[in-house]
Amino acid sequence: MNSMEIKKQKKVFTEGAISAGFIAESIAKHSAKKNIGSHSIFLGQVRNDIINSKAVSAIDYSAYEEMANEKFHEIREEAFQKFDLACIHIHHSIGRVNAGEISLFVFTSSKHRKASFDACRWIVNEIKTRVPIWGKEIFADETYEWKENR
Amino acid sequence: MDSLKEKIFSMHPEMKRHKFLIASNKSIIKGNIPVNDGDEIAFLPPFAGG
Repeated sequence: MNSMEIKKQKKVFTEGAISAGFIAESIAKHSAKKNIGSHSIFLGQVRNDIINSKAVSAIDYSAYEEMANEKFHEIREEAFQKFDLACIHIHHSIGRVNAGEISLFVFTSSKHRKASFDACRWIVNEIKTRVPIWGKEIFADETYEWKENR
Repeated sequence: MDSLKEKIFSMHPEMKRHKFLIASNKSIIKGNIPVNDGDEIAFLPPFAGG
């Protein structure tokens, strides 16, 4: 376990959508870490759900940021304890993200595939239940409804 | 926390219709704890991250 990686609180929130370019760059940076044999990536994309016959055109994310950052940090630390990982990267959008764009990027890397697979799934589930983030589902006519995780 | 909830409900009865969790100093509280001066109490509606 790398103690540098678990002590420092990392910046998770990024304004607006997470771009494909950012994700590609993040993957490319790992070519220097030659002890890694497996990467797992989860991408959460904003869906154009139909609610009361209106389609969601975007989600406006907000958060209790101080608590959210603490929770992200806790989840990272716990994941490093539970799984044999080389590294973890978590990015979540804040503000408006249009349907079809990426709002969550979880990237786990390990020597062998099991740890990165299992950790990636576990981290996404923990984010959904533990981190105080809210999403206003905005319709084309700019009316909205508050999203709730299931 | 129960007495705090009572107080909030009497000030804002519409809160009774909403689902929420309570956090004290950024930790979720289940059950009752003493509230001290300067504690940061938050009412958190259902999460929707991801």
